[in-house]
Amino acid sequence: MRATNYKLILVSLCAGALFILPVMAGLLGTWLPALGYLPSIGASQISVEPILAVFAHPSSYSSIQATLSSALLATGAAFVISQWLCMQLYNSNSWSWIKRSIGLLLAVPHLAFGIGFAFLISPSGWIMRLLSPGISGFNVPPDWLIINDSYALSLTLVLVLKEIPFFLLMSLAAMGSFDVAKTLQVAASLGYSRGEAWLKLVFVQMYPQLRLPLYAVLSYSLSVVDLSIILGPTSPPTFAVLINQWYGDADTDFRLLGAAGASLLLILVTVLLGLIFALEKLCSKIAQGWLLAGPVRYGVGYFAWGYRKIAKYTVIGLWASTLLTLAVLLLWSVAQQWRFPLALPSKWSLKYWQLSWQQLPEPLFNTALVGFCSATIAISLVIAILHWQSQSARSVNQQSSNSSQLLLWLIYLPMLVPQVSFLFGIQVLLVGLGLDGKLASLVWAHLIFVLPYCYLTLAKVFLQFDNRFFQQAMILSQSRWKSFWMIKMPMLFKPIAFSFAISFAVSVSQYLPTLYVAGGRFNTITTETVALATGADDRISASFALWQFWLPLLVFVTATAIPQWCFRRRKGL
Amino acid sequence: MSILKKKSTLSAGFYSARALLISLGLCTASFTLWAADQTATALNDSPAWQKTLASAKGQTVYFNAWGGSETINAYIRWAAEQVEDQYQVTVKQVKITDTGNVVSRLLAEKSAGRTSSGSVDLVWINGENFKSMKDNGLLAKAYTQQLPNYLLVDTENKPSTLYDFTTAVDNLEAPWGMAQMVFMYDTAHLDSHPQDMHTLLSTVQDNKGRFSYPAPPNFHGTSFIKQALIELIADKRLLSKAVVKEDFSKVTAPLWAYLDKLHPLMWRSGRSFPSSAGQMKKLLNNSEIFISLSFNPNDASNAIANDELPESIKTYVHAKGTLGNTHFVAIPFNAKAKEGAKVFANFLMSPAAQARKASPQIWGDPTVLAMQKLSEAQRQSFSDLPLGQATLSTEQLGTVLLEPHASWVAALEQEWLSRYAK
Repeated sequence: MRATNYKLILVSLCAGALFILPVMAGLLGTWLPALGYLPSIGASQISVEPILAVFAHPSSYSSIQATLSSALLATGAAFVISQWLCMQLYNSNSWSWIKRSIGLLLAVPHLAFGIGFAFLISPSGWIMRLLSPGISGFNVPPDWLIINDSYALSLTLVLVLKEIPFFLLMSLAAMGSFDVAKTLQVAASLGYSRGEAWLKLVFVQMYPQLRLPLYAVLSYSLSVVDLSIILGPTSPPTFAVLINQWYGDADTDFRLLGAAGASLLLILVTVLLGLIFALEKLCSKIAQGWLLAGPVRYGVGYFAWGYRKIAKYTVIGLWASTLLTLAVLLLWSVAQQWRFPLALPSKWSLKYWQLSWQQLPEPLFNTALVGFCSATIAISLVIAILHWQSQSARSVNQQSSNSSQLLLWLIYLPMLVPQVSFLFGIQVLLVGLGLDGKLASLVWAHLIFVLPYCYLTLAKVFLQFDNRFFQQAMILSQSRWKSFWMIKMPMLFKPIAFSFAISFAVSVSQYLPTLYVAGGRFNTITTETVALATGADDRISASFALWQFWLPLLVFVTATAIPQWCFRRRKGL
Repeated sequence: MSILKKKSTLSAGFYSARALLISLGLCTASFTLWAADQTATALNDSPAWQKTLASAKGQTVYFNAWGGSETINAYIRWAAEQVEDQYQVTVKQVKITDTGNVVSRLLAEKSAGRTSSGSVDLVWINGENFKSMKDNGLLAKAYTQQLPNYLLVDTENKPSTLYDFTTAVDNLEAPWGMAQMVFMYDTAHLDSHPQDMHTLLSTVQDNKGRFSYPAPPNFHGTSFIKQALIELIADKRLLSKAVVKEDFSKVTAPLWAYLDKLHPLMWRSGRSFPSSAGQMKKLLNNSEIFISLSFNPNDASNAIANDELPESIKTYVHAKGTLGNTHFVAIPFNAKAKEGAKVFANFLMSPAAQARKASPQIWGDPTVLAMQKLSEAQRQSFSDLPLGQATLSTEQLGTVLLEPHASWVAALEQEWLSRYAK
């Protein structure tokens, strides 16, 4: 018993050494220049000048404002909508379909979706083309501020569309830990309306498990760079993009400004998460009376329930936006000439497919290689951790829960810390150790960001695994390994494959880590897509975005099909 | 030799003293050129260059170059294949979005004390980024004087090959191509094009929302601001000197007054700006805007050939001239494949590579070479190039304006941001 606990601590320490120390070093490597220390450009005086310079920069305030409003709005809206969808659609006839298909939506990278979505909704986008000139009367596109608007609304919209599936998936996992149907039944027999029962009994039980995803989405929305470049405001851009611009400015003094900005972003994220945590506590205090008041006839819950149709259309809308995005990317990739207001290209060509085909092998191979490596390592580590956790949880409840809690936070930390706030430092660190531009470093950098999502998608199902199967197997086989490989693994194959696919998708979508760590030695489909998206050629950028779009999808479909195929004769699984 | 012969026989038909003088002049000129040609050949055969070629063999050159244009990427792929075949040097393009990021990486390498085997072997660069690399000691030792093809560069008539945005080049970067600001307009929507900043304003007044420029600090955006300043400032001489802080707001007042008038009439009422010249081209293609700008005089022709722009697009320049500059390739201080990078840089300056690059069907980037320094056949390869349907002739391109002193960029960008990107 002691040994298991000891093992867990050992694993935590290893995880710490592998992931947390470098992140810390990366943060330090960013904080020092933020305080004016960067000897390579002759800055060796510790001062708060760079920080003051950020505040003095004309673009900072409105940039932070746009970032804050878009991130809070996107996170809030996506969270509320996803919970509302769960409440309305739980156990409806479309529920099982949603459960099965949600992973597909999740696997589509933000970037590819964003590029395609811009093709869709911009004033000269496909929707307007379909309406013009017949319905809209426009022969030239209207001068409407839709994409790159200064309030970051289009960025917010895309974030909402992309985060709803994530929250849905996390809610599904959370619902697995208790019997929702029975809860609702009992509540109904006690006179609770469905809506009220959901809010008071189901949501409240789900929330602790949704807290972390919520924080992760908020942190991501505050610090996303690639998507903001394409859809976000331009003058000034969002804060993370501005920081990236400072890092890339020709004037090397701007590196200090960039580091100071990155550190401020971290503070911003920390403060916001703290505020949300406080708000949570406050809400639970205030709501205590309401929660314990028993069934209320015309309460909030009463009115919240009963919009199943609208909810269904919302999910259809989610799917439609993804499919339309895919369709418009496909069209652009085979277009030779496609000018406004034509609904379809006037000249078609497979040239860009051929072009991307010639150039693709290398980035595609790199993407797949890094994706497979990081996802495989992540899944192995996570399974090891979870298995130990499940074993130790049975044996020493109290002690281990402390150390596993610590381990959890260690794993999740990279998900909560904005990437820009430590990647610059990591770059310096890797360069210093002569490890930049190596495949191993790149896989490791991806792993930092893949691991939390891998854990997040697998932990719930894995820990809920009925350990009696394992014990039974132990008794019958007398072998830990046999029981693990022949009973536990096959029984958990489906969620493992699912988690692998999500991990792969997370790796594919990494832009900044690849940029900073690969040192230009490893082009991935994502770095190529971003590079081309800044150019003038919609056709080639569409064909690259398309590849970024369906590479994770392909892995996802395969990963979910394999267990089904393997167990086609074992229906019980 | 052949140049000399041809020019002499040509002049033999003229008997006036003037003709004789001209022919004499030509003779001297062609003699010096012949000498240059000889030196180029001599350099080519020199043991030093042969040694460079030998050590370059088998090296892999990581060429960090902006990757946003498929046209340019395709050209780089072609050049890479050539040097692979001819010199067994492998060139890999690292497609970047911003040259500043390369400077960042080199800085990181410098702070880590990595003085050799760096990650960048050659970088496509000019202007501010070059100045920054030069100031921070991030460049390799002067090298272009060792390159045989450098002798063919028109340093005499193209001053920007020696002064990159007023920073002395000092042989630290090899000229790759010439750039001049041109405007593109859509004849399907506009009957005539503006002649200067004032007529641009009145054109936009009549076509509200149909013009924009990328937001500074984007290169093209800052260039547009500089162009406007050159046209609007009362005393142009100030621009060749460093900015005087105290006078800045006074001397630039006409610029801001102009922009204040222009912005509300622009695309998205000046509340949003395109992120790059690339995005501008897309907007022009979709008639979201009717006027766009570029630094490649052949851009429109190339894009039309490529179906990126409709045939109704034509090019124009402002009557009193537009900004011009040169873009270069530089080797960082810690490059691993220095010899390979030199071989590739030399190849990029070769008449064959430059002629291909100048073709509107390929890229359309003007050459840095001096026609007089080339052999007959080489010159022919340039004169045979078709003039793109939307390209201006050299005469039409008019005066090339020199870039203002480098210190103006930061001051203008700062002021622009505080006015329009708050």
